[in-house]
Amino acid sequence: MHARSYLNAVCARDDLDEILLLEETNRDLAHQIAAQTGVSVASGPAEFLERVDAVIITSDNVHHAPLALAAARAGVHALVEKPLATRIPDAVAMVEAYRQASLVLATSFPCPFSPAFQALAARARAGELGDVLALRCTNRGTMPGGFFIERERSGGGAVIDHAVHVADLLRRITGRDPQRVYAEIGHGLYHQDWDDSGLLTIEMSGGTFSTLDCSWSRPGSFPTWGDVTIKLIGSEASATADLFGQRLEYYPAEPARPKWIGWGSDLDALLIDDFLEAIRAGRQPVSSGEDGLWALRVALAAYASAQAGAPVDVLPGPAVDREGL
Amino acid sequence: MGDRPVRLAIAGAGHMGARHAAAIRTCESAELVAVWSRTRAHAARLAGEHGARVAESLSALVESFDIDAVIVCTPPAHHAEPALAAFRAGKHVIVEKPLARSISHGERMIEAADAAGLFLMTAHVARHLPLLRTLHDQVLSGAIGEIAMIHMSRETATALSGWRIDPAEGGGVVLDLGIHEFDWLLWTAGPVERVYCRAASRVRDAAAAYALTTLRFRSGAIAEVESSATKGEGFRISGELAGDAGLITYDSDRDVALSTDLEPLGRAEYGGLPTSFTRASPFLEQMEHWMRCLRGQERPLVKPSEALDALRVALAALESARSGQVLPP
Repeated sequence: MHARSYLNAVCARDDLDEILLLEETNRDLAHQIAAQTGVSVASGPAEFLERVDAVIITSDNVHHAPLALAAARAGVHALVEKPLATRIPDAVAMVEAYRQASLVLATSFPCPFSPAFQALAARARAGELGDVLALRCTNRGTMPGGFFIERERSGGGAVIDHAVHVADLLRRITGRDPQRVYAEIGHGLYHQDWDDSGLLTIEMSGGTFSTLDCSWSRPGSFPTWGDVTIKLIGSEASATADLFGQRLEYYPAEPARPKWIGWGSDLDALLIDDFLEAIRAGRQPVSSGEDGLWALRVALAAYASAQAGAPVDVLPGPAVDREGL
Repeated sequence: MGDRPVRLAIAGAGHMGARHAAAIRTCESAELVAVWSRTRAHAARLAGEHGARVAESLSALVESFDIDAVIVCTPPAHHAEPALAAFRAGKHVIVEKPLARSISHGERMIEAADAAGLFLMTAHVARHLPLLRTLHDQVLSGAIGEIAMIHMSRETATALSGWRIDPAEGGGVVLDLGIHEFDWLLWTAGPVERVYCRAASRVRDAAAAYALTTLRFRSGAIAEVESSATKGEGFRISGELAGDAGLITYDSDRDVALSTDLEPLGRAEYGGLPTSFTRASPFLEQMEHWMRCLRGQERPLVKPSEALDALRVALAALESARSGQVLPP
């Protein structure tokens, strides 16, 4: 889904020697894209990993772990599309492999690069809004189709697709880790076996809580793909960030539908900038593998909670370095 | 009652008592006869403003005046006493929301109304808001198909105080604000299966000033209700309903018919509602509806059992906020 956006971002740079595509399932598409953009195509994973220093993995979710682990073995840095993996042991193995190899493992969380989000987080962390009493967040979208709605390829539905972004942002705003998750998960929008709607309550260590709607509840007629919003209720003041709120509203002549045309910062480009800088500087990326692991814990805890009909604990994991923010 | 105005008494001369007195003044079919309050000075002031008489006691209010119905506007923990006294005296009862502060009080009020064959109508005024009534009609007409995911929010800038933030007497925003959304949701989306709520207070040991409640409906639909007394200024209701055939949204801050840029005239009074610039205020619509019901021209929009169901959801949310458990209503 984001592969083209990342490709555009890397193609726009003049500091890369070579850009190489490895299309795992659709060779024709890889060659078509290569022809359009002037990049090369590798004939297989071995040749691919031989020729590159870093890889952006945008495969089916279930293939993130094997591809990233192969890259680590080949000494290749990786930026992995979220969710980092579909199972905790895979994500832990990825984080561990990159740590041992002293390579950069980044998770594709572009939202931390939003200037609006950074301003909100900075104010919250500086105590300008008082104590954080509660948050109320959304990451709603249109139903993406493709592998996202094949559970054996995606690891779930709307919840694993969308809960991870805000789960990550909550850690950055509060400086706390998620402790307990309650989730109501539904199938009422598309009536399929994959979840299309989810409402989480995420409780952070220290007592702050947030709701999160991660549903695919924007219908086909909606003027944009969806949203990421964060409302923070502080003991002194409140603030709301609408990360993609900078937009034009466009109403074409019939029969086309209205469109919202964003004019905010290109967060995918900022994400890739940071990934490359982290490699060159030998530092952690802003959106690290550990960040991806924590967010995955929340998404999987949501599925466990819905199954149990009760709040569940998010298991503790390794300490997280968040100096990059 | 025939064609003469319905004769009303008000028990409780606080904020809502004054609101109903104002609605009575503009309602041709209603007349305010007497006011009683535990604080006599409050009753005297409200009665004086509206040309009504002061009742020296609750029993005097329901027995000594020629009235048809009593509007009970005391704090919720004290709804049952005036309501039961009114039923004993053969008077209909209109009660502010929530119906009561406990299920047992609510049940006793309903039993007494049934036994006496008198009306017990609860002031769920949100059902009379043109915005929320139109939304209800749209959803029921199938505009979004089957409901899947709902958000509803009610935010006020006015800090709750007095009995409203006393955990025993009131119930903070869950009981004071959330009850509107709970009633509207039960009316629109059907019965609730389970409730989860997290809430935060601004003042130690006070009831919540901010709450987020999750509801799961028997239909499978999911709802999130935000109840907030932490808004910077003004009053706002907003939300959306997503179904399998569409999405519908509302926002009283966005959907305005008249905006002014004058200096504020003064602090918003407690529970102020946005001016809707519709034919009548929701409180007048509600008063006119009650009067038609009391004259036998219409059926009450809010059945006693529905007011009790909304209370059950609100009390489950309060208990969930306290215990951290998922609870049935």
